Amino acid sequence: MARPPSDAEFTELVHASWPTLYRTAYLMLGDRGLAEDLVQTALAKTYASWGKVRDLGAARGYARTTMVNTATSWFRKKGWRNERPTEEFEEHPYDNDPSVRPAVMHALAQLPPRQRAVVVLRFYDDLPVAETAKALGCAEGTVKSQTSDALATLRILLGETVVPLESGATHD
Amino acid sequence: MTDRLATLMHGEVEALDIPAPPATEILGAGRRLHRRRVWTQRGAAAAGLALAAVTAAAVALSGGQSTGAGPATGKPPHVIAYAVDDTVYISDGTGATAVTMPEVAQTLYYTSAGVLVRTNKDGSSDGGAPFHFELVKPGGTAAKLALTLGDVVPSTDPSLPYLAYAAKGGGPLFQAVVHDISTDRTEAAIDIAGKFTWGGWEAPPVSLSGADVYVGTDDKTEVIDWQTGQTTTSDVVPGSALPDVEGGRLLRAGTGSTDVVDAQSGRVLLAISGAKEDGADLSPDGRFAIVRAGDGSVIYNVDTGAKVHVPSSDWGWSSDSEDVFRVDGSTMTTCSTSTGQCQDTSVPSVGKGAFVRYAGVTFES
Repeated sequence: MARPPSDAEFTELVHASWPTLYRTAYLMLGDRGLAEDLVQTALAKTYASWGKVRDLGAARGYARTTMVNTATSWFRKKGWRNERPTEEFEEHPYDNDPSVRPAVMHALAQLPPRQRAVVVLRFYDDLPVAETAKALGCAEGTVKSQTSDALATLRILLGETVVPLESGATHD
Repeated sequence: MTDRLATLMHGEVEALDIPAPPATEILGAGRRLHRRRVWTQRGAAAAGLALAAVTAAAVALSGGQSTGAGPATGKPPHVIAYAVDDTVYISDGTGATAVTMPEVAQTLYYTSAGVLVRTNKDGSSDGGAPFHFELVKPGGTAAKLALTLGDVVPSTDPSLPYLAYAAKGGGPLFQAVVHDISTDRTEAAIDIAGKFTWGGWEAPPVSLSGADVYVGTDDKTEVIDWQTGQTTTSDVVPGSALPDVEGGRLLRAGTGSTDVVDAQSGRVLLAISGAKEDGADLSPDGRFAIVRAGDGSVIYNVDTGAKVHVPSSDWGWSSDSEDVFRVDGSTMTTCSTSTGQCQDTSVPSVGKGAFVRYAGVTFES
């Protein structure tokens, strides 16, 4: 097993990876406090699993995967506040008046947690389907179907200007 | 075509006031997690070093082949647990505390949070669902978990507070679930890629060893790192079979022998000549192998190849694998797995025809 990093090495890793992980966590959870908790947990797990991480160069990727997996575990816990999607949407309520469109965070909050994670990983972190599936621990087909469902919802909420009709098919 | 969506998300988070990372707290939490996982690995490693000098001689005595790799997990506190019908007995070797269960105790699992008891209506393992779970803590108090399982094969690692099992997911896939029994919450639920049609259970059988959940799917065993969700296919653990990995080790039939094998590398750690695989078992931490031989048993130290003989062929394990034990009437016999020395202790009498289950032993069918 690889030796754990020195305190200085690990502290440097924490400072270097924190902003990126925090932004992704915030987009996935929509809550600053939860995002902070999530990133802390992911980095602590990364330290504890150093035998699998093996070197500092791979640690940031491992931390991100651990963070996403921890988040999906949170999503599955009973009572998670975003467990259920909003049941009904008003059809194209904002198309004609962009000034009253909800912020993207509000739109993301309408998605079920796993769909939200897929959207963040694919369109914010720019991960391809295969890597997204790997990070979420699910099949590529699941990522594709969740992407399609999520974009359909976002299209209703944000309008076709933001999410064009052909969006899902061209990003891979 | 989603450039605008990506731009909006970037815009949202670029404007965030990001707090400073609490690096010291993260480092402390990481250290605590690390210690919990490796437990007393340093102690085990030290013991391994001390024993390394006598390995060659021990191998000669055992008729086996030892390569001396350390176990994947350390050892939890010393506890002996067994059940008689709906009563669980917890012992430190000098007596036994009785704890009544709401149902018959079907299997007892050692964990770092206490003894986890799987119960059901009659103790049967075949068609015995639904199964419920009680956590018996070291002080002898029991708490019911909010967990009901069907006809599946769950697993624990004695150095961790988790129960792993597989279950039907929302779609066509199964999921490997890791449940934290100390908090009674699901810690992870990860899709299993492979199919499962063999075995007759509701979901593929699993084995928890450290951070890995081994899942016995059709023709292959998947190894899931439940913290990251990353899945690999094992080159060592056979598929379409119950993956019984203890402390990162498993038993495998060799040529004229039963071999103890490292579950990750496939390296043979100990070859036990003449032993049949179905007559052998590993200790909960994988440090010892017991082989039934006639009316008695032989216990091998996997790391050194040293062996001791104990009477009887029917044994349970202590939580730290330091002892095997059995109960006959009102006597509990414990034997050291290192020296073979045995001692008797008086315990509440077990009547004839009672349903007895020893901890550390698998009861699945």
